[in-house]
Amino acid sequence: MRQDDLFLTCQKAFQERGLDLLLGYEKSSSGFLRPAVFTAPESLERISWDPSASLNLATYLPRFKSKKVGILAPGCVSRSIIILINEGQINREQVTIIGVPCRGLIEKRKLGDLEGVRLVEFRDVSFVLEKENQRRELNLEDYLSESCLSCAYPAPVIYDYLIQGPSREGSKGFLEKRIKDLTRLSPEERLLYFKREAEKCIRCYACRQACPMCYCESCFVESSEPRWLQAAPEPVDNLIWLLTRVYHLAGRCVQCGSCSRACPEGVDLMSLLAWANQSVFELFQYQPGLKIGEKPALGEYRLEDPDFFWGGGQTEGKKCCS
Amino acid sequence: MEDFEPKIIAFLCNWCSYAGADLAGVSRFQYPPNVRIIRVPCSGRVNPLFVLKALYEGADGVLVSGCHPGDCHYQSGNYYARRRLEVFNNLLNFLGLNPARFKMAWISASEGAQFAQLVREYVQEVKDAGPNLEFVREKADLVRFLNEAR
Repeated sequence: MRQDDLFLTCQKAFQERGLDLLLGYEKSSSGFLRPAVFTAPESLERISWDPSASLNLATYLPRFKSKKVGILAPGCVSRSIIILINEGQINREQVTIIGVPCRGLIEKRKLGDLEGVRLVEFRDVSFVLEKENQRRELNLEDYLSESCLSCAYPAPVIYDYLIQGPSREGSKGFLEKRIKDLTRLSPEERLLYFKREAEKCIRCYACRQACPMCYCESCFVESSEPRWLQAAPEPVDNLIWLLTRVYHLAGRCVQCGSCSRACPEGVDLMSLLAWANQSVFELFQYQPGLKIGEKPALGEYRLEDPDFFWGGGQTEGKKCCS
Repeated sequence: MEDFEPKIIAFLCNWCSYAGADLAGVSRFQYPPNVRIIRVPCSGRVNPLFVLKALYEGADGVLVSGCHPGDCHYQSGNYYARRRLEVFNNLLNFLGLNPARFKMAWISASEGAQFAQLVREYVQEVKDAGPNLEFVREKADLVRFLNEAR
């Protein structure tokens, strides 16, 4: 992907569509990308896109309902946009999707201490970091997010403009394998594992803020009437928070990994999210964010849905951890 | 743990399961008194947070029951409930929670005997699973305190 191609396409989109603003990324002083809002075509010179982007930009879309917004979208962001449209949060006409190829996004946590580290450049299969004038070339594949390692749709699903360039090949496997490993454990061991993960949580709600599907104006976790759980980061409360957020995202999550990258404590959010999506897929053959006009999986039903209720059709052996 | 008498919270829909429980009473079917019934308008009203909240506040088991598919007073409430609660149940199982903590059932207004049987079965299941220590705030604190004191 060429920088001038990105700049010119964005500028063209900005003028042709009469955009009010464009959501993209710019380089921060450390060389890593940070989200940026571009409000004039001239400022687009700073726009940039590479695997150091972290946040799913569709998160900002519901805030600009009345504006004409352009947005840089790799596969996961384009799928988030489809869901936001399907759930009535944004209008298709108001959004201009500029599809970008995606080679996967890096997980900064894997890079360790980033104090004084500068990101120099991305090459074909590697990237270069610099610290105190010493350069280090790292293999891109080793530092990708978990979500990107099991991304089935790296290239945008819908777009108005498309920027040419190589995308990562769609691959499944990483999280699926993690889930398989977890289901091989005994339930007690799994509960212990997730309790340990929940204990790490400091309840900063960065995961919620980074998630394009968490657009609720008031969240159950802050509700005081009824008060579902306490605000203090206690293990059981954390577990309820993580579990309920994951349940709310079941069949809606596109597994972009935005929450997981935003988490300051490295809580394993992805295996729960992937499991929720996998069980929605196994039960109802539903995959989120692929078709405009589709209802959310838990917002519709079929008469012939599987039935595991006592006294229902298929009670023999509750379905668990297939 | 032989004298353990579990507390079970049952969310029963107004039109079928609650009437089924009523019929069990009127017909004098015996079942253990461990269930505390909460009447909800429809099984579709049951937010999975109700289940978590009940466990969190100290219930040893939670039962959700509604009309059989096709019999919903509101036409489709139980179909939505079926999807949601099955996904939720899958999540709880993946988390490693004892499967006895949460049970879903269909009980119609004429199934008094079945309701009594369901409660008997479920109470036994929860008795076998033992008290809920994994999801209660106070007890979790207590367990941690005891571990640290050791």
